[in-house]
Amino acid sequence: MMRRVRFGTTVAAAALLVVMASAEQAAPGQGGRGGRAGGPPRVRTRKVVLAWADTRNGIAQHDSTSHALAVIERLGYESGVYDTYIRTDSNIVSSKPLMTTGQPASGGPSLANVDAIFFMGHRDVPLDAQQRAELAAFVHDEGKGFVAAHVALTAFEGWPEFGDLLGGRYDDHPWNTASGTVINDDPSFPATKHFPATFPFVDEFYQAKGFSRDAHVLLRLDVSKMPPNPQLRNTDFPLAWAKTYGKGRVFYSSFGHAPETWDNRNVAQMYFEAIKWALGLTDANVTPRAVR
Amino acid sequence: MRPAILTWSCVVALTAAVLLGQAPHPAAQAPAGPKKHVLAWADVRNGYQHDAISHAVATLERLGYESGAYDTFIRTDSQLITKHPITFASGTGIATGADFLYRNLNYFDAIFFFGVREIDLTPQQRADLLSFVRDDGKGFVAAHSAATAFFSWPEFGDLLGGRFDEHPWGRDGIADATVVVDDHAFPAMRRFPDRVVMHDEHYQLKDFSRERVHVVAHLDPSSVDLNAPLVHRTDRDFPVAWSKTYGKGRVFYSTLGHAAESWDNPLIQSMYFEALRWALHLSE
Repeated sequence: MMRRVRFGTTVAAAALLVVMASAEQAAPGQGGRGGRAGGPPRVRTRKVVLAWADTRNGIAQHDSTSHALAVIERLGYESGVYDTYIRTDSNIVSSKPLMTTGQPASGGPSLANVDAIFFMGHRDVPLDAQQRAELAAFVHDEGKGFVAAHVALTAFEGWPEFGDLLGGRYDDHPWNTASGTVINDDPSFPATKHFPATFPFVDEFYQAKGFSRDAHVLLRLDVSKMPPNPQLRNTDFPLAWAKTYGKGRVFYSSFGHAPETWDNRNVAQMYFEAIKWALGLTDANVTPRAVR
Repeated sequence: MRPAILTWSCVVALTAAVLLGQAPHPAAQAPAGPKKHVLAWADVRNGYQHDAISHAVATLERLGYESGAYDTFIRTDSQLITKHPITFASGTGIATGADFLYRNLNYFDAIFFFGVREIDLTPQQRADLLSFVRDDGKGFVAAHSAATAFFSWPEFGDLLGGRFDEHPWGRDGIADATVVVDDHAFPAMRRFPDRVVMHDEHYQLKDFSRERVHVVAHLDPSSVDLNAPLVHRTDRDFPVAWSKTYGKGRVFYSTLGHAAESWDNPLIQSMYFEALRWALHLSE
């Protein structure tokens, strides 16, 4: 039997957001664009996030991708922190987007008017050289945010600069989807302070390689508790990190293979807080630390 | 091992994890029978991206997810609009040519369409899209700016049932107008009162025929300014929503949904959700 759909805000989401909405969004009339908070129309003070997941190349779209994009949109919408443009094409990743005809687009979202990117594309995302340069400059020179999830680690294999931006590269998932123990390396960081010191987690844990020395590891897998695996090449197994890239803030986490993972409130809160940090709404110390 | 990101072993392992109760929050209760697949398709590359579109597709994804009625793929590109294998020639990806694990129109049971203006589809893609509805009996539910799409493609007008002809009313095209329900028995209209004032960018439609579309709601012509410069209709017939068939398939279109806030209105949510269920043959 189908459950009845709950139209409007669910109690669960409301409870989550009471916890998550921070003081700067609590003023009257400052609720989500949905107007649930009431009050008169207001000037646009919210940030703008591009939720970008170009999945046209690679081994098909993950079943979690659309749910992840929708969850990211909802977190911004209901909290009033940011508005989201969901895009699975990459034309928007440009200061002057083009139509499919090659003619200039008639306005609308572009790198010139978004404040951060949530990225869940994979493999060889089709960006031309100009778009790549503009994307790197968006973070590096303009100080905009870049938050990336799961498959993002597999993206742009042929573009070295992207590895520098993101802080690592994909090197398989030795156990496929498995249960593991995650160690919280930084309970002071906004996106990980709600996690306990260690916690069990089920996911497809991505192994990173080419790991950047300037990244500040937040979460890592306790490899000592995993079954032996010949594909394990990195006993330092980061699952979430924060870093800077030029003037911009970058966050990556491996969490999020399955749609259900995005219903985990701790995971949703992690990405929401990571986006707020990348937007400059919160601050944290991301000084790199030596591998433990 | 094949270096695939998504492998069947992952799927099996995940399913096992869910069955063992290890999934963090199994919000989606699977209904009896296989879950339906909806493609939320909003290719906006060649036109104005309404602020509402991302919120609309995210809202419909949530309604399907939470109810268990359907799973949604959100796409703002048109790659999946084909019944043919999807391959790509360039790049360094691991999945090239025939090995590509694509999901094309054959995977989907209905499309929710919120595109705009001219969308870049090949002739084969256009033929496949029409056949998806007409021959395969799949669903097609379209919102608001969908009526501005594909003006250069006559068959799309036949599929959808009509065309956009301006939004003549109010400042910047946004106005209050009274929606009158014609058919409360239609699933998408069941929650609507007989008459309700809606604040929206109300469209004037053209090239439709009440003999070919089943109008389920319309604007009360006395609630809008019939002397507004862009009012072209002389019959005072301003449909707000209709259902129709196209070959074996079911089609629903509504003008409502210009603003993101519209998609928080329980009436609009239920209208599109129930329209999708109807188009998916989950209701009659």
